[in-house]
Amino acid sequence: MYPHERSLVQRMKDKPFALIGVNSDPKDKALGAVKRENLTWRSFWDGGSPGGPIAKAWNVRGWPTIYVLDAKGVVRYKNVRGEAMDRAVEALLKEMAETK
Amino acid sequence: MKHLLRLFPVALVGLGFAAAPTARAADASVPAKLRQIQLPQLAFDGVPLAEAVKLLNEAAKTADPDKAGVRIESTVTDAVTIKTRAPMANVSLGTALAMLCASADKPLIYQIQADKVVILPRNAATIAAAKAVASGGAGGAGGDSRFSVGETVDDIEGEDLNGAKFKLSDYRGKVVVLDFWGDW
Repeated sequence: MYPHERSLVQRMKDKPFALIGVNSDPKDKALGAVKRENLTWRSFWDGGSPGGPIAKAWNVRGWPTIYVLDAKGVVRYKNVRGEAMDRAVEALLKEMAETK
Repeated sequence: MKHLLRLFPVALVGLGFAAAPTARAADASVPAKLRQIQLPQLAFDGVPLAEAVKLLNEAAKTADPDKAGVRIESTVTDAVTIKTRAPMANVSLGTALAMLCASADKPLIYQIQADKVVILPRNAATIAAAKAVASGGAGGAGGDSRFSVGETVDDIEGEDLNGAKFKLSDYRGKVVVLDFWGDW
């Protein structure tokens, strides 16, 4: 997961795109992963364990859970991974560019 | 010097007590268990999946300091055989699950849920279910979180890993991949 998401973020760095995490680890473990894997994106810290306040509010019970949101905050894809995630992001960026 | 020698072990014991309740509270989640339970050895020599799952459940319970283990279930109905290439020593339960799926003679995936781990066949049906989830339909692996395709999500207000406050809505105007993740 890390290498794919790292390369997506790198490739989209000049585009109107952001990868935002919601992390369910104890903080030291989360920070350890950020350092070890050189993760550049920002994550909400969800209290240190699965079932934290954000996961609860969003009824997230499986990890990873992925949402792809458009510029208005509308869910456009769910649980797309790997190449499917890339295609989803590219499609939404294209749509944004065309409706500008 | 005498004082130091006497004080030092006392201080260590104190620390141990202080740290224990926090560590134990975090232990109970499935992802934490997958990281923390270490299996002394792992090898499946051509056993049926159902039996491998049973063995893994038992091994996890035995190796778990709390003796609770993790509930591992399989929804696979086909005959699947697990044969690991070489026995492994001291692997985490999470690694063991990945190995089990990778050592099957039919493609398998496993999914971490709040209270258990489910092993699923990786076939046209589960791929179709995943697609239904992606397009807002019900069901499928990890698909029933709160917002569906087409809905506007609620804002998230919180802190990042460095303690700085921010909001999901700070990123309106951008395409956002929101990734609920953990390092396990």
